Amino acid sequence: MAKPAVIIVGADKGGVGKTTVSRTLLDYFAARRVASRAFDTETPRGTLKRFHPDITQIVDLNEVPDQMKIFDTLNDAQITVIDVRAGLLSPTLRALRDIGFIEAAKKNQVNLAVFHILGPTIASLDEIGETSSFLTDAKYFLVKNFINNTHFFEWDQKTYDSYFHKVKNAVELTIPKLNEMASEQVELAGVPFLTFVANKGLHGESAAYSFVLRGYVRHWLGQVWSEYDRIKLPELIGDAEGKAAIAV
Amino acid sequence: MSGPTQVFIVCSPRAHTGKTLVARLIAEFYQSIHRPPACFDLEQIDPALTEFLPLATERAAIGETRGQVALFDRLVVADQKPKIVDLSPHALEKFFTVAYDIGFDHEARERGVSAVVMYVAGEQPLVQTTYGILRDKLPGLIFVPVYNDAVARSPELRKLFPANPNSPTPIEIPQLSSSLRRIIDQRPFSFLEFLKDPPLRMARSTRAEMESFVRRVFRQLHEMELSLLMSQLNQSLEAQLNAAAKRAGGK
Repeated sequence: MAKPAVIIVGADKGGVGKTTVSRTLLDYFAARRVASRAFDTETPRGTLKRFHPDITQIVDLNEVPDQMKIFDTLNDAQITVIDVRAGLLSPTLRALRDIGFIEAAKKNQVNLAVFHILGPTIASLDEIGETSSFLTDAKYFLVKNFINNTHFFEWDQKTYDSYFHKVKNAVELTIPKLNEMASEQVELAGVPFLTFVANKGLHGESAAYSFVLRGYVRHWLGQVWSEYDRIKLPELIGDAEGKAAIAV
Repeated sequence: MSGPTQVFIVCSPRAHTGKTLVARLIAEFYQSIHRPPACFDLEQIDPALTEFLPLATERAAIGETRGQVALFDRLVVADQKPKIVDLSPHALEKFFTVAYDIGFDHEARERGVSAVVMYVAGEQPLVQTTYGILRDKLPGLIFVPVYNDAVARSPELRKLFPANPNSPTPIEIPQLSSSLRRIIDQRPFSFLEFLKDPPLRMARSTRAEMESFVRRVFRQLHEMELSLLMSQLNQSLEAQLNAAAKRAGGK
């Protein structure tokens, strides 16, 4: 059996689109028929759980029983996505180091990837250095997320480069902006992006979403997934060729 | 099987090519066969189609998502009602960009809607280049070149606007005499009304010219209608055969 993989999605700032990225990841693996599960650390109410209720549990990463719930059961799914609450990325990585999980990743017993969602501030860049210190052997992805209207071009490129190049083996990826009205409609529908594209409700019933908005979501999701293909995400689960995805 | 639904997108990247005339002729052709169309006028500055066919036309704008939803969501409905979009040169790029982004050609095909681009050919390089790009980016659309003799008559032009292999034959719009041209440009002139009730003072030859013009264009549109119907039947048959083969393979 392939090694289980854990993807941690986090940032030290709120409202940068962590949960949206987590949702695209769950859709990406669902389309490839890869068994996935997710943990939402926004206790007591989880946004991720609202969109993927069947495979998501809400946990408190500060609590040992919840840490056990995640890391003692890794073989329950090929992919475990953890949507880390704002401000908890560095403490989470510290906890993972303390329980020996990062060491296990170093020894190749599990695969670990971190999606660090960047905000448009220098403070956000400062986090890169701190986070990367935990991740010498994990896959570290720096995600420039345009979905929440963040203006990365306002950054001074030199400053950005100086931070980015401090981190060895970090890979940069870009999540484009989703049409605002389409984004709102998916929020209202409360379904995974893939389900919205397929014009279905949460329980598989037919829905009546706008064709235009579904088209925008399909196009955007295709762009996001091509970024995931570019960074060879399927390799995380030992799928070098990548299973054929269900067409978006 | 339900009847066909066609969507005609009448366009050219250049102004003054007779695009609205083509849209009017298609609309009146469908009115003449008792299939009243829904027309959408995307011309913001001079909404001519709205003035020629006020009862059948609504104005549309696609600058904002709300307007895109209002237009495209109706274009993909397979309700057997012909739809005609008079696409202004200003809105052309936006319209086809949205169409590409949302997968309009694919969705139309899936729903059994024939989406036809009635592309008014011209001699300018921009017109030729745009045609190539659109065919390349949106292969699921049916492209029918329209040769408006009043604008461009060169026989060489035919080679520059190839149609898809199974597309209907290109449409030719004959040139009208200047006196008739003046008449048809007066809003809200209607070809069908003219034929039904021609002005008494008009010379016989002029009436005959108009009748011949309309007959010639409508005959071509009728052939296009049949060709679209045939290709839709073929597609449907092909889909049924494929499904049957799949079922047989699964046993």
